Amino acid sequence: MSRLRVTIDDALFGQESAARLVTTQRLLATAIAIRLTLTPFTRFTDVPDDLVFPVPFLWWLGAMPSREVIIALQIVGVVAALLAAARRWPRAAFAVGWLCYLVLAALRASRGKVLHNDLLLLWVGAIFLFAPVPPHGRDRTPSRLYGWPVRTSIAMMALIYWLAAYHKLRRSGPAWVWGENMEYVMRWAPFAGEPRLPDLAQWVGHHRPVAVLAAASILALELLFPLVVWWKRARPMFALTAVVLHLGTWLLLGLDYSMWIVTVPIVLIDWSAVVAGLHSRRRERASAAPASEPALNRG
Amino acid sequence: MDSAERADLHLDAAPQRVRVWVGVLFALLLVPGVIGFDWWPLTGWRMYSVSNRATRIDWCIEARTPDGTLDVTWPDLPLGHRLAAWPIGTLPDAPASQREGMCLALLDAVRDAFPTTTRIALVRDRRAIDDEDRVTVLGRERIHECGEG
Repeated sequence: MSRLRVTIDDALFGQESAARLVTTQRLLATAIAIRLTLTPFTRFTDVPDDLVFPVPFLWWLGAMPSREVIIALQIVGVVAALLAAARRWPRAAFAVGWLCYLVLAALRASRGKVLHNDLLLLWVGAIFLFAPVPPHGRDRTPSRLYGWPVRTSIAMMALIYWLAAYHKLRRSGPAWVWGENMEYVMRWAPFAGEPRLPDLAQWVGHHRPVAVLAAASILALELLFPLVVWWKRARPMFALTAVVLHLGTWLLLGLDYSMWIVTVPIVLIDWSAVVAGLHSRRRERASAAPASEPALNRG
Repeated sequence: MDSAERADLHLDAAPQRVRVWVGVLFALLLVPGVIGFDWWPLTGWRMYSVSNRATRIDWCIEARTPDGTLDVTWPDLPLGHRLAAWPIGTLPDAPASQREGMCLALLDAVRDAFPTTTRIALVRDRRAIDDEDRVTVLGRERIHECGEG
């Protein structure tokens, strides 16, 4: 096997623990359940037929489905996702929850504009459709058998961010950063969208160094994102930076990328290790407590 | 590596069907991603890739009422209608029946927000923003009109 092939093979199919696989899938299922619960999908039922432009796989749809159909999809999707989160029939339940989410997000995107808001979670979720179901979900022994869903989703996420940078450079070149682009993105924001902090957006737009720094940070994050595939210690920093980027997008431009905010840390951070670390610290503290009592009594 | 170790590694590896599934997903991600086309949920990931400038093109609705004309902003309309600027942008090349259908659909929504509206025009605005963040319409092209009168 060539060295490149080994590197790619390890990136996609390397070892991770059953605990990490299970925790990641549970968190993704929870995110799907929350999205399906909180998004007002029924408000799209009043879209007139002439303003419905079905996404390709819903080509047969001439109109938005009825309110009852959408509510049924939401209920089935939420119940299935919660069952997957609770590890009840995890594979089937996750698939049903993901499928309901796919259809509802597709309906939302069937209004003439390509929407990316749900795509990161949908793409990462697709990987987990065939994730193995470990018999011992708390086992922290790394294994290639359980590693591929987490490893592949990290690689896929990195590629998605890199592609976003690639198109910025392809369509606008370095001017995307060094030109007036970000100044005008911010200055148009209150007129083009519904930013939560319009004054701050315009302030950034009138301060060129801040605008260029923001643009450079965004492009750097997206271009360098593939580093997370091999550089494990950088993952929390990339997760935090991505959260800040998408939070900033919501505050300054009014664009909701909340599912990206949720998905990136779920995938990049080993939450099973975080929880295990907290438990062991608590145990250490508990076992240290009786030993310290005599010391207190000594005085 | 002896044969026992090789056997262990083989048992521990991701199965062939998993590799096929992962390969298919990456192909579906990479082909539209690199070429840059959209076939939702396949997409080119081109969000905010075109540089913004002091001028821009906006697709809007102009409403006519007995008191005069007014520019409808998208937040005035119901949530489901707020992305209509994108399909309006395709209307110059669309058949007359599609233009009329979309226009009438939007007229109903505009009337819910502004009940005295008699007629609307779907317009292509060329707008500019000045140093004081004032937006001016440099040119307006009416793509289609519908309603009474």
